[in-house]
Amino acid sequence: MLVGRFSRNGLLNSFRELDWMERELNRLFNGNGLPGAGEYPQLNVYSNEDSLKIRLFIPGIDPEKLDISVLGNSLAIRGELPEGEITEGVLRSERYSGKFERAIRLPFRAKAEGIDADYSKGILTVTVVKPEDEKPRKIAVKSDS
Amino acid sequence: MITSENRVKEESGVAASEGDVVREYSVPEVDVFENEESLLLVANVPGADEKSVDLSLEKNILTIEAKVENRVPEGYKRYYAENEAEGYSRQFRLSDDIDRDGISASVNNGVLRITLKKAKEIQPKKIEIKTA
Repeated sequence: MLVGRFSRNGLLNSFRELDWMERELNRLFNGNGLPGAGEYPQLNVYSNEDSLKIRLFIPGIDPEKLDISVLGNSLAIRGELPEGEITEGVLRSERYSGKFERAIRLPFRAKAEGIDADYSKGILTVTVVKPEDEKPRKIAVKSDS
Repeated sequence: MITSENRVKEESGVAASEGDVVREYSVPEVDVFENEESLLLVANVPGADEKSVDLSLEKNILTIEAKVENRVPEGYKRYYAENEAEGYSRQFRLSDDIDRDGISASVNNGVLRITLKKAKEIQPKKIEIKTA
């Protein structure tokens, strides 16, 4: 099936496919083969009526170098997992190092001042508070009687 | 000198159960480095600290285990989740060339570092050449 796709789409797309395949393979076989590892660190999202809590698993980073940005209902977290300080005598290398990025589509339009981030024990927790004007409003229905 | 134990994966896929709640453990990613005196094992254990990491050595099997608090935060509902593991577990088989008393470890920002000293007998020795 993959071969068929290559021949149909021509050379340029083949490269794109290879690039995509390489990324997918890296993702699947990075370290222990758990999806979500590596370039796209694992992410959990929790919600309640007033806010959203995001948990991102990024051990060993300098929180100063994290970049969290929000635009409308899109939240992006970018950073870099540090290269190992040791380059010689590598017997096993499963941990990902390098740039990572995760973008999340929020179920509401967030404002920068409503975002709080905390990095502890290798886990980044971002709390996004739903702005007042995004909360559902009750509209009173008038009646004639 | 150090080998990852695959059979452990099966054993520790589900490590413990509490009532009806099955606690799932995941296998942490590990780097291993070697120099003349020691081996350095670096493991990703986000959510764990020095109190929650449990290291044990039984015969020639080194076991890394850590429990982590990764439940749904109070007052919230699960919206989307990729990692619901409540801990990490992995085992390594050590050869006799590792000094059993020379193992030390630290945890920082969810990264566990274990130093395993090589036995004195196999460390390279410098032989001084005296001048007459």
